[in-house]
Amino acid sequence: MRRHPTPYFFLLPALIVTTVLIVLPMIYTFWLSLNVNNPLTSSYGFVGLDNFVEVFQDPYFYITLGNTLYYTAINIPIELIIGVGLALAINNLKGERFYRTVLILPVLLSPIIVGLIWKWMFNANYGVFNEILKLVGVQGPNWLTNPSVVRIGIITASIWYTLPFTVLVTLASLKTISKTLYEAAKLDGANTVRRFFHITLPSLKNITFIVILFRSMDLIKIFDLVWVMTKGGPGYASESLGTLTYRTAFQYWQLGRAASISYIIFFLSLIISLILIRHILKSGAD
Amino acid sequence: MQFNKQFIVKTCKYLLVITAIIAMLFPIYWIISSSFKSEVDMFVTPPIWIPLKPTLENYQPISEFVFGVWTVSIESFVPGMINSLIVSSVATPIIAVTGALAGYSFSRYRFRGGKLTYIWFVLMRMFPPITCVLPIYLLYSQVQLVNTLTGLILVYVAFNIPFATWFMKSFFDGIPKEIDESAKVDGCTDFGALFRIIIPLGAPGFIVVTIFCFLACWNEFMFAAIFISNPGTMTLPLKLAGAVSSWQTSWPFITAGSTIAMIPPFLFVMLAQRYIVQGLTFGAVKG
Repeated sequence: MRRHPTPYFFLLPALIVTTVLIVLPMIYTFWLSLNVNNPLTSSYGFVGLDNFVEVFQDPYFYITLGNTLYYTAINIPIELIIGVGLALAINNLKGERFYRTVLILPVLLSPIIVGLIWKWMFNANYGVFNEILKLVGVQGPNWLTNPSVVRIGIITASIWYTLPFTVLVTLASLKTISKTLYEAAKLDGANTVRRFFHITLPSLKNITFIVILFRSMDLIKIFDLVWVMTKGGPGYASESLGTLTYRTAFQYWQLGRAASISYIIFFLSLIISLILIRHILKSGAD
Repeated sequence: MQFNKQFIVKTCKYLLVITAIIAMLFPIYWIISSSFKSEVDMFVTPPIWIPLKPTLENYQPISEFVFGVWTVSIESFVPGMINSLIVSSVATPIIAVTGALAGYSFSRYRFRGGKLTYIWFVLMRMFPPITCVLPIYLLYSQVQLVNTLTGLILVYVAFNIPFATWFMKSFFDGIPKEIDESAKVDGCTDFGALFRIIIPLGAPGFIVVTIFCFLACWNEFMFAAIFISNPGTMTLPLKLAGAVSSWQTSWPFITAGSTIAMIPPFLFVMLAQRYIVQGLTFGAVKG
């Protein structure tokens, strides 16, 4: 091991900035979650786990938690099926580069722009989405004001937003499958269908887990899309843990309680990521 | 028979891809085309699919009469655009340089605590920003950084450094160590080796980091929404989100502003498609 001041010197700026603005705040948020901190009523003080107890006794919290898990559980499988299907179709098709270029666009936009685009398309009175449905003879609901479909509306926007990521990543991993595998299988007499199920799909297993990991990290903390499309409404019908944290902190100014909700988000994503990473490492081993 | 089956599969593939492309592009087309419609045309049913009488009236900045001159009002999206540009172009080079330095030290030196610090940097990317935001807000209120672009820039720098560091480290790992070591044997200093050898060779990685961090700052909403409430320092996404309210939503303003907000991503796709694909897939495929 070389003893050298240089690496520390190179690291210093990155270390200082992230420590002051990420690590210390993260720790302080935990302390905050054990306190009452309300600038509106000027009440401050240590309360132990009371914030967490209150959150877990709040029926709205469970609606919000349910919505967040709903977003994650419905969004990811649909996105995966469409994304992998599309990647398989595009792979080695004439004009592949062009399709890829065109498909990238949504994922580079601001979530706010994506939310506004879909809010505009879903508009109850003159939204183009329902006009398109009308062309095929379907009368669409009021996507963003009807509590029973509002989450589907948000998921639609969310899938549209990140589908390019799933497609690109799947495409990239399709390119890594060795051609000799297919040739060997062909020689052994395996037909197209069998080659697909025995070579292509198993090779995509790892990348699928990675997509699930990335997307569930995003969806557990979903905030921008929900906030701009519905502000969590109507009522609590589309409220996520992210918007609940924001509301609790910056509308009700219950900073201690908001801190405890944000730590619940952190723990949820920690648990999910640990499970998935274990899976990825395991399947990478064989 | 064999020919037929192949033909059917090919046709299905093309149908699927074309449907997908229409579905991915139509929403973008729709907001752009709406922005060129007059306020009346925007709200008719059945909708006007192609604006045959395009107008620029939605792009007209709201002006106001201040101190004897007509100026662009703080309410229009122009100041928001300028603020977004300032924040992104100040933050991006800082992130890229800081990330490159840190990535270089992780890639080229073995030092006490190096591995652990690196793992820590990778982990930091997983922290939900919302879990860090409350103390930063309290800190900013103490040091008068609420409602300032400086405060926003600092946060953007901090939260993009883990990505930049990790990406640059992986990128530098791909450059053979022998190259900079031979430069050092020839009398280059550590800094010299970094600036003369590594940075030129690492330029493609640098471009990827620059594009992604610029877009991350340009697109960011949550921090801006929490730290900025003064119209004068609002960024573009904040301005646009602010035009949505339960009693009146200003769609002419939103469609035009959104179109403008889409210019940087469009430019990057046209000019640097290769780098964008690399940036999006690098992490997932490398694992």
